[in-house]
Amino acid sequence: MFSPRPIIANLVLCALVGSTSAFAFEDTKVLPKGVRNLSIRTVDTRFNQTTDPSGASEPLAHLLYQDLTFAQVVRDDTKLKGAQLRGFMLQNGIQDKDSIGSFSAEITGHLTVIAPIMAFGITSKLTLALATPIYQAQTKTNVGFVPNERAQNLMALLAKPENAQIANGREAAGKLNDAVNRLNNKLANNNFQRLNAWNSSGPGDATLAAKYQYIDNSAMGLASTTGVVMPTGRRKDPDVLNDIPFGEGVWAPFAQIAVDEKLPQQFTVNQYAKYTLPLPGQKSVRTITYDELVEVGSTNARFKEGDKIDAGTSLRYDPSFGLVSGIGYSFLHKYGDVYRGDGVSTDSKKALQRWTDQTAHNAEFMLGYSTVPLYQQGRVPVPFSLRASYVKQLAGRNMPITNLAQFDFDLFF
Amino acid sequence: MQSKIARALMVLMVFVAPIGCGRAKAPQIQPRGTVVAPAYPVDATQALQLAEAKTTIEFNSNVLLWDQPTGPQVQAILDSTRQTRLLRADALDTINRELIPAKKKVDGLQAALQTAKQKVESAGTARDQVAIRAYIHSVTDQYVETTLKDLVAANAISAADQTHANLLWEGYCEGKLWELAVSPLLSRLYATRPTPNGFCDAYYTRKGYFADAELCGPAASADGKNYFSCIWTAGVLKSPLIPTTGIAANCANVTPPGAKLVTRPQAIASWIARDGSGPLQKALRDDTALPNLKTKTFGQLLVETILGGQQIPLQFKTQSPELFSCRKAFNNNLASVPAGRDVDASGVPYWQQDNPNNLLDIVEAGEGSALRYTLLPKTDHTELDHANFVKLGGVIAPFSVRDKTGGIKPSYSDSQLNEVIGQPGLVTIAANIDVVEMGPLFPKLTSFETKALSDLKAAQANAMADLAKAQDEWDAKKVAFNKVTMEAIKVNITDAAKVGEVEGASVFLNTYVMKIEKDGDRLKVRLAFEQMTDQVQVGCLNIATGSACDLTPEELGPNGHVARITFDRSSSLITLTFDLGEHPENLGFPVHPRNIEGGDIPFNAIAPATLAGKSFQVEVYGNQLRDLPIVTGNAYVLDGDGKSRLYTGSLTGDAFYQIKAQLFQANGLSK
Repeated sequence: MFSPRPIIANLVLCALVGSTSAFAFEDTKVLPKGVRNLSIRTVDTRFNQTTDPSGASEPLAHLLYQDLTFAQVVRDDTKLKGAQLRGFMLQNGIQDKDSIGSFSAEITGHLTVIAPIMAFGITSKLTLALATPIYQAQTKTNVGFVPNERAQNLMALLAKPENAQIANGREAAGKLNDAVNRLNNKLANNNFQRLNAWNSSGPGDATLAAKYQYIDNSAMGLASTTGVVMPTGRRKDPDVLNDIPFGEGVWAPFAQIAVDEKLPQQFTVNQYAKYTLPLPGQKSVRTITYDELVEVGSTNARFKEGDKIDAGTSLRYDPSFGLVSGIGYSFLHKYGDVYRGDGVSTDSKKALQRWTDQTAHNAEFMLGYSTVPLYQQGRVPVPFSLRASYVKQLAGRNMPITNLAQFDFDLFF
Repeated sequence: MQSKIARALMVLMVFVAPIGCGRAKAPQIQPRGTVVAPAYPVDATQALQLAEAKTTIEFNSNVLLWDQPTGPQVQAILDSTRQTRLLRADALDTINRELIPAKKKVDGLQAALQTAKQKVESAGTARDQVAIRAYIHSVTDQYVETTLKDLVAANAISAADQTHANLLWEGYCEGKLWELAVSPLLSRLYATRPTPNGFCDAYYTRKGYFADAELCGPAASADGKNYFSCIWTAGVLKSPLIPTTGIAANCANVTPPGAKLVTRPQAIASWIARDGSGPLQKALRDDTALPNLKTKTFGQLLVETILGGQQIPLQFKTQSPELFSCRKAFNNNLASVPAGRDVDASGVPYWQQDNPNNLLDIVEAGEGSALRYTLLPKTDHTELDHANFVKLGGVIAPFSVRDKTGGIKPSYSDSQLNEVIGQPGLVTIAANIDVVEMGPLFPKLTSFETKALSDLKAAQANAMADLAKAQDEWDAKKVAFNKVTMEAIKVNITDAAKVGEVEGASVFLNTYVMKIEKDGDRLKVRLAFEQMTDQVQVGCLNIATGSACDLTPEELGPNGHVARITFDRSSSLITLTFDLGEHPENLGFPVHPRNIEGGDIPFNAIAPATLAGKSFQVEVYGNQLRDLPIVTGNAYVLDGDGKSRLYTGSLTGDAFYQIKAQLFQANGLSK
């Protein structure tokens, strides 16, 4: 009935917090040799919407918008009652697939990530960094069910004297009027967690990266960053429909190139591109199909998460008195996941792989203050910076709509 | 440096702390609709009529058990059940809304017609009967002879046909004479000599009948006169039907030729003497009809009255076989002259060899009778034949026929021409004057009526027409009900059985009768599979206390077995359970192969050995489909522990036959 796939798809926040700065606001700067940088990045987002494969927005719980069919109503009955109801349906031209009512739901979520990032200037050209995010997530769910006119007509038919199926009608009515609870019972009977509020906190996937600056002159800068995302975060629980994963569970090396064009008046234009290559892994999945989403078993499946491409551009204005500001655009694309091996049937693979390709277009805005220029002038004792950023998702596919608020605090010592 | 870091971290905390402390926004509450669960009928108790203090209701239909039911199989059963219920409910609708009103309408119109007829009869004297008699005589006198002449003149018939017809006409008139002579009509008192038939008076005059002035003259007083002796002595005994000169009587059981035969007058005398409770004796024994004969002995009275004083040695107490046989001959209305007898038949017209009753058919046989063309022969022209019939038999028959249903009734001729003074002991039955007077024969008759009588006759005619129409409607509805509605129900019974022919299931189909009797708090349920066994399961429950009640031997009956029943008030659910024992075949479950096409409806595919030691359970609740009480429920074969269900099935039933019988009886619908 419902897809136990991540209702809340991968928010790709790992990529968010894995960077040393906001999405679009990359640069080619590195730490001077021997200098340390402690950065605390805080990301906060609330969400209840997502985008579909065509890019249209829909409720996050859209996968819970399902019809309850007659076949599903009679399926759990005893042999006699089930046959009686099915016979009655056939008699009155009611098809198994006819809907008798619709479920609806809303899921709201709140995610906060606090990511301490430690960086160290190995050489004047090479900086090493480690990010260890901490997630705190919460979702709330409310499910409803509304029988349609066909349901009431069915009751009337059952009660007609010439049919005289009152006992069966009362039983069917009881089921319909308790549909939400029965749904949760069915989930529980199939080892799913009931659709209640969920919350959790814990570490996310850590990221280790090395940034090397090739060029840094008055006109431009060029740097590359390579690294790996480590599977330290909580993975998606296949038995919880409304949880938020804190990590992908696989090693994911990446490589990034960034270019700065230094403009007059302390403006800088930056472009970057990054490619992440998740390695194949294994995880526990429910062997769903398009037709059956609940009464399914579990298995360990080999899979390969889709590769990701990040790219962006920005314009920054960093005057010497300490203001930091900028606007930018970023693009994210993730290829679809692929499941392999004989442990999962072809139909299950298709169902598991569906809607796993993602795309997002974001606009970002930043404003902050840095004491680094003044420190360099010897006018302040402590070099630090404080930035606030806002990421607005302009468009997306198969992505939760998450407009992020981000705060970065950097301390250099 | 460390203090700088510490201050920096405190700044950090100021920014970080508020972040992440919020909760997820509460989701919008989603709508949760409900459906209205069907309720058991408000009068759930009514369907089983258990709200009544004392009631008996009988359901019958089918019990069907499946081994592993599938949706399509159950659909077939549901279709069939639904169809059965609708057909039977429609049938009761038809009875209540069509048959009963139609029957009541017929009954009402019959009463109205009777009232109208009585009014007409009562007002019968409201016309100038003297003038009417004269007018009728003017029409009937020589009518047949004249009509035959006209037909010859018009080349409609030949001269030979005319001669033949005249001869047959004489035979008809003799038959009418005989018919009056042997009927109780002759025991009445009349003011003047009654005529056997107005159309025949010319013939009787030609033959010299009724010429005896003393016997056949008018009554001397207003009290009237009995004309028995006139009709017999001056009529019957002069008739060629009763020859007086050496013609042997038709005594069928008399010993072979050569044995002693008696004359016809002797035979008549014997017959009268031994008539027993026959019509002649009844009329003659009516003392008020023959007061002047009281002083004479019975035999003498008869001889004098009938035989005109001829003294015939007669010992009416003698059991003479010849005389006894001759009486039987007259009682049986056998022909005057037997075939093969050694008699002198010269001078006797050939119709004299016929049975006197057959002579009446010469004219009075209906248009569909083979005798219709006796008077005038049938031609090749249907329209001509019909025209000839209309001119003669078509007008003479209604005028002349005496209805003999339930005792003889006067003809139109009798009622109009014969002046009845007294008819004690006889029921007054008026002739159907409308049949004659509405026709073309007597167009001026209505002018002799008073306006009041004309109106009453018009009302009677309307009542007859309304009754005829209502009767036709009633007949049509009865036919439609029997041939369409009930036939459909009958076919449906077979069709319902055919659902058991679905392959892939082990099916047990039977026909049951379940009788529910309630008397106060005592509820008794009888379940019988009458087509399979004479054994009956009977359960008794006190519905107030919920405990079983005892059954008397009379209630249980010689073939009864105690069953267990429970009753759920909220749903009117009755559950009846009984043990199948070691020989379930004796309780209605023998192996009985399918033979639905052969008309054998019940069948059982489950072997008795499988059912032995198990129990059978039905749970039913009632409902009402318009005027039809119905029951629905499930049937089970339970395992030895009484819990596991080895076979499951359905039970449907209705009280159609009981309700139908009650309605038919209460409203006289079988008539």
